[in-house]
Amino acid sequence: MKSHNELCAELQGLVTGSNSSDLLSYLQDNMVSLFASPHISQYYQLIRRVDVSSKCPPLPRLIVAWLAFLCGDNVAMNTAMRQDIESQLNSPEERSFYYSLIALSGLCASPDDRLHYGKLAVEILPQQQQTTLYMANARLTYGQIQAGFDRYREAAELFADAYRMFHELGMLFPAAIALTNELLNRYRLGQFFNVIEKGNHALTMAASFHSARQDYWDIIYLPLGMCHFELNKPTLAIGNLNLAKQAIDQMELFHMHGLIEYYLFKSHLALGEYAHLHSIVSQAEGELGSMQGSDAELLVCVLRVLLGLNAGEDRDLKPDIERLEVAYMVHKSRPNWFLIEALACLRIRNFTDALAIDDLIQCLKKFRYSGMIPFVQLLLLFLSELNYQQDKANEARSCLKEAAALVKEYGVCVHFFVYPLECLTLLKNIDAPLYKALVSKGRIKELVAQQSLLSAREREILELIALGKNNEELGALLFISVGTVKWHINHILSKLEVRNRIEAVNKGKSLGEIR
Amino acid sequence: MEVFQGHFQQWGAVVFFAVLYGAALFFVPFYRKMDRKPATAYLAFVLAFAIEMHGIPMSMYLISWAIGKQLPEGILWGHTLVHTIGHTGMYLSIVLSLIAILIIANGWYNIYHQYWSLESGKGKVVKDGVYRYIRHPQYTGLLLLSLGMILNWATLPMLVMFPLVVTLYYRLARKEETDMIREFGEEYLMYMGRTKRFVPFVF
Repeated sequence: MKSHNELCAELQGLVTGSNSSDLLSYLQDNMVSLFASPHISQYYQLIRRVDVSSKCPPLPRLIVAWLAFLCGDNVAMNTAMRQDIESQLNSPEERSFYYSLIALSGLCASPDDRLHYGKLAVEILPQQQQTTLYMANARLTYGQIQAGFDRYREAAELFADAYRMFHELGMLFPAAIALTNELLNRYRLGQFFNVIEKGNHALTMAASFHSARQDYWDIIYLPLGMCHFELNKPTLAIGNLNLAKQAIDQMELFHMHGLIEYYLFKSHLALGEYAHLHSIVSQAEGELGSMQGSDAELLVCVLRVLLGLNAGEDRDLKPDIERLEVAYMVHKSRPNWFLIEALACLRIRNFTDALAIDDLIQCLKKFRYSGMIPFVQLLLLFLSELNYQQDKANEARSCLKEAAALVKEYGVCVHFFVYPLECLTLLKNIDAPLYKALVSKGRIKELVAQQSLLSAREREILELIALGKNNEELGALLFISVGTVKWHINHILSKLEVRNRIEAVNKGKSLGEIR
Repeated sequence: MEVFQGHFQQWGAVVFFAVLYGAALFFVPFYRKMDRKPATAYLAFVLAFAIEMHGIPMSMYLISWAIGKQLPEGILWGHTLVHTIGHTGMYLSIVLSLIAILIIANGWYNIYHQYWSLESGKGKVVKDGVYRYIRHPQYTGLLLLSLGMILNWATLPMLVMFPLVVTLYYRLARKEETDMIREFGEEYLMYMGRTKRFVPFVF
């Protein structure tokens, strides 16, 4: 395999020389080295002027088309792919290479065609032979298409195969990309421990076997950070995500951007570090906000809204809210998860009614179907809160119960700690350990105080006890018998879980029951 | 040893046992026509059991006629292997039936409350109660009942039909799982990953 500098120098030489067929055969001969490199855009800049007319053989043309596609030059890709290239393809390898580009670039007519071509690219290749670039590439591509159709399990398997194959071929950069994709899909399926194990294993391997560890392995910190976040280890998550961000910036993998900002934001939110939230949002505004109308820009809106709602800031949210409402109306059939999250938060605070409870239930159904575990739990919590607000305690409880069951099953729990939801008080009778953890983190504390333990009469008696009255005096003051006074005091003691009236007064004061 | 004439020709008992074991089918949901085939096989099994135990021991007569001598009690008629294990088979049968009734009742309770209310929009994957361990508790129950009957009073038609009942219910269970995957997708696949089909922790 040739190094980056060799490739650059030799390409430079061939481009300045006038014979384009030499350049094309060079591309064909060094295909593996080219696609193994993280610097594809630099090579593409060198060769973009090459003539790919119909005279030139199909494989070099496909290589040019792939390079153009990977560098975002769709016009050049279309040019290279035009002219009845399909009829000139002769080997299954070339066909596979062609079908996967068709599927990935969306050159085919319908979404179903993309699935069809992606599958064809994998299946057309002869089985049980030595691993080739084509096999790995077809799996990487088909995995991406499957993931786009929310088939995370199939996608993860394909990416795992692609990772193994690229690794076997010594193409480490695509291997790292394939592994990252595998782990992202496993994250969605709630396989957090599996992700952490595999990610750490790959990082250890990368550090020990290759003399100069390449920075691109740090992309794996993205799924690792996401998993650590879901397991409610936000500090660790922030460390991971920052490493991943560096790698992504360095590799210029811009399409991975939104994810990083979103999870960094949520991790800091879980920690209650509002100062960091501001800096993340303003940074995201700088990096992503310029792409008007894109998902990235929508994400910036979402982050601004979440910041405004949670950091108690007086910024005017109206324009962002309306932007989100429109986005939801447009994409109602297939909305983004972060859009749903923001709209649900807004709905809980009565800022919008764009998202009805039924819509939320529909979304939940979709997430359940595709197996998007982290968001299933988040939506369950939102649903519980909305039901709680409408005094439907039973529905609220059953949603909460399911959310708590997911904690036991997958370990996913961070969203109990991110948003201060009022319905969480119901947890006391559902999952006592979790409830206690929330109370000790101060997530339910205020609510306990608001929801008074004692009745009005008991509070009155406790206040009088605090003034130093004894049972007889209390009876006389309240026109009740001493027996009744004792009856009330027993209730106070058991409700406050204390042994005597001095402790009761102290606890009553600390809980805010009496002044 | 049973008094031969006392045990047979008891048509009231035939009806009683047929209804008793057949009633289990009322707690198994039917969705489509194909679900009836295994149920019919099970019902035939129950009838063979009840009739041969308390009505007329048809298969015993037939075999005796064919081979020219009477079969000893406990072999294809009478309490199963009564000379070797005594009435152990009958007691085992009672235990299995009780377990089966519990499983069927629990499965029915959970599925009735959480899945059959599909129209009211609550249809979801049932994972509570006995469904936490196995995916087809009713079928497990029916198969346990059938096994219990064999342990109690095995006859030739029952021995022939038992594998058929098992196969039909196995196939039905497989078929239902594909339907469930179509309906619930990844959620059901994950549920399948943590549960067994008929026997908790084993199969």
